[in-house]
Amino acid sequence: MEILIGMLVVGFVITGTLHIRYHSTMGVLDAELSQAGIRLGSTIIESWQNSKKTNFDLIAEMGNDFTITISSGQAAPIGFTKLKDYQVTVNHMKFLVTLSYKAQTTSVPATLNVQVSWPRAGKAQLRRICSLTTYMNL
Amino acid sequence: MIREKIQMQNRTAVTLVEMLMAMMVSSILFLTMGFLVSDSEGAWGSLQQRSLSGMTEEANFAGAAFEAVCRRSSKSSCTIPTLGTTCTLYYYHDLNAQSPDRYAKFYVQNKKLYVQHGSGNNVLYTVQLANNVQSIKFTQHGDAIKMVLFLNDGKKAMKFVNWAIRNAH
Repeated sequence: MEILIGMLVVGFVITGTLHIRYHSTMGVLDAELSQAGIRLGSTIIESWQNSKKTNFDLIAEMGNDFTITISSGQAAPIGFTKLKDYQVTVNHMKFLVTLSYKAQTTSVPATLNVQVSWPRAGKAQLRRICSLTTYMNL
Repeated sequence: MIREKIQMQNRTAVTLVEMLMAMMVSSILFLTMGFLVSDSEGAWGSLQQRSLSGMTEEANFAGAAFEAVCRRSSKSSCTIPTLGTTCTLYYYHDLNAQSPDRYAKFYVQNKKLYVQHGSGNNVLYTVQLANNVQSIKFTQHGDAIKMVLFLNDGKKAMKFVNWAIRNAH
């Protein structure tokens, strides 16, 4: 009986240690994923802003740097015209990227928006990583 | 006689069968634990190695330094050789200067990425930005400069892309 109780305690300790290691490692990987997503959003919006055109083709502009395919599933922010959804793979991490814009008016330059989300495997709901907005003078 | 019988009934020792049963159960539990621990050690060891290697942090540091210099550098000139392995940007340190008075040169030496800041022919200071550089390529796209950085520490390889628009005249 004492042996079994002792083993149970050892079992709890081992399981607890594994649990802590699992969550700490997953936390670091989660941070890495968020950083990669934000860096991707920043790179895309900078590249788009530099292109000086609202009709930006992500595959043509950055197809050599990342694996990019046309995708779907993410709405544009309210008031923005959606350009396209893309699935972008960065260092084996897949992101859903949505480009949208507001056309330039006489008083306001064109407004660009890039949303980066993480399509979690087996889950319908996306996890939003960032939504970046900037202006572009045409 | 009766006292001896009562003593036999109140004994606390275990029989051979009970002991064998306990040993069997404990060995099964120990084996299961052993498999679980060794299996998770292997898997989490490689994951931790990946997540704690510091490669992402180094790339973020290098990217932030590149973007900070690039954003305040002049649109009028930059020096990128044909292979694109180095990039020299020119920026204003003295905001009243008539032309860019400082330069920042990004280059790789012994698999390490550096940025060297200088003025004219004088080197002012050099900062190391990243280790384990496999390759680097700079390209100019209008006002923007792109840096594609490959890091490889022998265990994993990662690619990092940074764009930054030059804003100064």
